[in-house]
Amino acid sequence: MHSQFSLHRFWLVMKLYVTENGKSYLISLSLIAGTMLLLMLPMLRSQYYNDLLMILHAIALFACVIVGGSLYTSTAFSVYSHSAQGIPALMLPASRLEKFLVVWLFHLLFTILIIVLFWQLHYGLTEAANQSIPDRGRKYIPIPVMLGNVFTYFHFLIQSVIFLGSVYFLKNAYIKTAGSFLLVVVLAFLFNYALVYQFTDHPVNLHAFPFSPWTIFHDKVYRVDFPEPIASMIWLFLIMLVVSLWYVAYVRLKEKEI
Amino acid sequence: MIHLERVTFAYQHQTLLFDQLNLLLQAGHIYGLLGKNGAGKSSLLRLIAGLLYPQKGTLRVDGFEPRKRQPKFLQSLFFLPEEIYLPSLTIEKFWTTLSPFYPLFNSEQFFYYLKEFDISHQQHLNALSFGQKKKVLIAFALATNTKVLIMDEPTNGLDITSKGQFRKLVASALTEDRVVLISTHQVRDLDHLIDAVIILDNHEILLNQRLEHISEQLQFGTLTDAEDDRRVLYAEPSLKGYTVVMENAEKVESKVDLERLFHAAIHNPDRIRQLFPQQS
Repeated sequence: MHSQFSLHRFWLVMKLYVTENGKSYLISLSLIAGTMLLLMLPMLRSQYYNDLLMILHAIALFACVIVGGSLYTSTAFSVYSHSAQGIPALMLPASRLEKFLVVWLFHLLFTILIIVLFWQLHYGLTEAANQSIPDRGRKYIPIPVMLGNVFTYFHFLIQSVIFLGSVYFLKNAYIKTAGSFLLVVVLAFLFNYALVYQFTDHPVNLHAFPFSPWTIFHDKVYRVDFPEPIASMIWLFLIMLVVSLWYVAYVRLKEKEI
Repeated sequence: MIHLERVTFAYQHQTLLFDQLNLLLQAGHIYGLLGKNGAGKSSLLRLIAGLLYPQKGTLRVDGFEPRKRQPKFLQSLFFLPEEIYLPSLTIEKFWTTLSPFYPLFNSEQFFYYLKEFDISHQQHLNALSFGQKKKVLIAFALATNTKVLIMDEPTNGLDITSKGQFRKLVASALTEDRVVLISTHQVRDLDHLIDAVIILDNHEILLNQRLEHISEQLQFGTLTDAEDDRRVLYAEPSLKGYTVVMENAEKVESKVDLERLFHAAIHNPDRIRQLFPQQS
């Protein structure tokens, strides 16, 4: 076990990681937080409801959390794509688990920090802005918690996919991973849609995203919810999916050859 | 110390680079690995270091299987690649963060080697030239005191004075339980440094011998006429006639000329195999 994990070596690898990457880590984090503040803070200055200010929050979620976060995550294992940096990294006297865990921990922390910051700002600012709006004026409606959970999950899923892509692809990891992920998502959506369309006797219209309840439009509108135990199992499966992606990234790192 | 037995290796979707390769390197020696471009020198070094995985065969380095990349193995081997990378740190910071990974690291030696290379430990690595960076890494590599030290083209980028320093320092760092393996195109850089030579040709080990034994079997000298002399393996015109590498039937003592030995091996591989039959 000592050859797999030693706290002393883990600490040394962490110190080395902070020494080599600490500055870029903080710069990336500050850049994302700064852009988020720029996009979201103007809501505080409004005394009336303004659609644009709400849209800016959505842009912050997409541009800062999803895109900004994944751009940073795509660099997780970039050292292994060049022999000059990859050889010292592979030859560093520490186990593969220790090297992986350090990178994983820092990226997990990054992923958590940016999403927590976004939700804190979003809920805090909408509440503060609503207080400045006169009682009879239209108020801002924050993103519902349930939808927020879905966004948070997607954020983790995307980051874990990009994390795997950064060790899987040698060149243009971000573009290749994002392209592959998008293709899988589109195929999953089409497959799910076709399946529901067949199961529900060809409705006039339907809303059905993978792993979510269905809304079917026949002569009336029907909603098909998953039973509670199935819904819990779906969540468990989705969480396991993220964990599996991290594990596959670890296996890829173990097999890395330069 | 380093033992390759029937090692087969190919890069993905490519033809075999090594087929059933055997090689035995013993501690207490400095080996020079020579070969033409594309002969597989760097790949061989990377296989030994565990950076590449063989498809077949067994590979043992100091009792470890390199592909497992166990920390104990990595503590006992230092690999200095041809293309180097150093982080954006001061030399001191580089030393404090990396040296604790190597249990036998000797800081006094590190600073002594730096001094010999005329580099101040207070300098920032970004401010150094390529050659100076290489010298920092060579100093670090020697000070790790790992049992196996592998260097791929270590003298690339070093000036003439530094090449001399390099030879002196590497020779002084050799101990009885340490093996140093140096690959280079610049054969002259290994003069007066190595005591054994490995020649890789057509992805095979053509020669793996101590210089002592080579000088018993081969004579390096000059002849006025070399054209019909069956003893000659390699000849090149010189002012006095021909500089030759020839069979040493009369057991004349001569200094091994690495460059000519290399040419002789490449031009006359069959004769080399006959003269040095036990290759593994």
